[in-house]
Amino acid sequence: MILAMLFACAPATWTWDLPDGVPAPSVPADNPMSAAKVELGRHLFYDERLSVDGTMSCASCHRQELAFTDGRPQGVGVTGEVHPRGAMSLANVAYASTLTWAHPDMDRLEHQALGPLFGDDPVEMGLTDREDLVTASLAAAPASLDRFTAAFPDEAEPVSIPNVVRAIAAFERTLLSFDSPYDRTMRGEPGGMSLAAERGQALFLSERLECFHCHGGPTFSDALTHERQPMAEIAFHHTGLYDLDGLGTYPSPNTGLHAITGRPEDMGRFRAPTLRNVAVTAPYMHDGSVETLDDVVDHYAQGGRGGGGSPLQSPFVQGFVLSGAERADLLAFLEALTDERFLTDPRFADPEVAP
Amino acid sequence: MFLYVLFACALEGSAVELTVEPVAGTSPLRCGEEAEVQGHEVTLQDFRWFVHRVQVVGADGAAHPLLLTEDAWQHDGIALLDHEDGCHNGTAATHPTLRGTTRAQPPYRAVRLRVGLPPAHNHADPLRQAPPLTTSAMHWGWRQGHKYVRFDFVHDGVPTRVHLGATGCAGPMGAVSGCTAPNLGDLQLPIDGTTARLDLSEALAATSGGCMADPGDRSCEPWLTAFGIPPADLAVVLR
Repeated sequence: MILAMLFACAPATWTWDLPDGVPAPSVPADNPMSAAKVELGRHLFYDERLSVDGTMSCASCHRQELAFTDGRPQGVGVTGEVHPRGAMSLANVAYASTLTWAHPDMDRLEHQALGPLFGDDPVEMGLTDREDLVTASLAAAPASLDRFTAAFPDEAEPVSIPNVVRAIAAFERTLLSFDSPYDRTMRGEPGGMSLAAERGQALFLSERLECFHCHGGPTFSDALTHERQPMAEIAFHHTGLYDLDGLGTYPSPNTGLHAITGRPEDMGRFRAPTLRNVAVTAPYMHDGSVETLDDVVDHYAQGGRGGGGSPLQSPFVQGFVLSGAERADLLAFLEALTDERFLTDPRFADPEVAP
Repeated sequence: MFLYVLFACALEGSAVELTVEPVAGTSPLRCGEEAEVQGHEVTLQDFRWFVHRVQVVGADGAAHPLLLTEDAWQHDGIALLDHEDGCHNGTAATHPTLRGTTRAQPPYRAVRLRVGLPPAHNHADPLRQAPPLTTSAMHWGWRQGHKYVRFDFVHDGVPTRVHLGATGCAGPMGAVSGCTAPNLGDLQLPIDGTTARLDLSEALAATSGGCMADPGDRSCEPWLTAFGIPPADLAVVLR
């Protein structure tokens, strides 16, 4: 009896579905994980009521089968307005120390989600000034209200915009991708990488190619935080994708970190995106201007397609020469980062399709 | 009892409700209505702005605080002035008023405003704020705060947006350490009776495009000036 009460009163603890050796993500103390909150978040992620005309959900630009990208060079909002940048993958987004392509201080998924929902420059989901209509609509549907009540049981009015983004953030933190052929090789499990991919991994990790400096660690991105690394690593790099003037200038408005800080030395600096599932997230770079992985390799092999002479360019983007066989191996390695289970896991799918 | 009343009056003064009216010269700027401004056709689509540190200049020429009444539009000495009625997007509700108590004696000569939000309010966690700081149209997440001024209009047929707020801010929401361009403005608006007028004719005549208070955006100049933003911030934005 006492045990039963104890069990009932203790807050439900959350268990991460992680392989051995992978550290758990950091979770903000004021938005603890719970199964009910994640389930609410999944429903909201796929809910088209979260756009002004009911045509778009988060999933419109973050499609599971594309590792939660949308296959477009740049995002398109409800009004047809084109975002200057492309939708980023959400694979392992819980480990990203900073969010979006280039923001030094956007460090919480809860805050980031307000951007696509309510932003008006550009318009994405177009909910500016519609917050009361949205919460009324979510509270009016009994199933939806029940999910909010279960996720936020201590709150008299659980349906609120802060709780919408808290639940979406909790769902996003569950989007874990650690079961690619690469991971299985690392764990000594069957279903691992091909020999070509293993040779490609050696190239990826070589000082000749320098890929791993920015695309390192468990997420293949150096913008990393997790529970064993609470002091987040925050990094942005000028890869020489553009150089309009020999000084490293990028075309406006995509000037990267510079657009936030205004500092000339931040021109063209962007966050290294995760390379997990990179084979399904084309086109590439912040503006989708590179169509294929092969073209990405070309960009880095040239030492930056922008010309490579700018003082702002990362010292790791120096250029390299690859034989045809080496290029095929490198591509095989990048393809071995595709996690088929992640792309099809029913826990991450539209609840209408996979209840 | 008598003493208490006297004390209360001395402390709080008398109730006052001021209307703030945006104008271009002598013509009111109303949402969705075309106005002629020095040869330009201007149609206002949205105008909302935050003010705080509100003072009333009374008959004696001295400025006294206007202690704002707490409600959905006014909180912690901050007011959201809302001059749009949903004519374009936005919402039907308007709030062109400042309501509170002041020791200033009528006839009032002017109202002094600080345009924008105190830094602690501007950069607080957006999930934990109270109205009017919950207004989504004023959120400015990528700038780690709120828009101070949202002024959208059509200028000679060209849709134009002026969104002012602090830029170059460092630190995540809830822990911002400072901004290279705080972009807080100080205005003194003349009062006629209980109506204060903000004349935007100079900025509307001089405007050469929208402004997001981005560093280096020279089209911001007339707008920063119109909202009383000091030359030091102007220098950062216009450099």
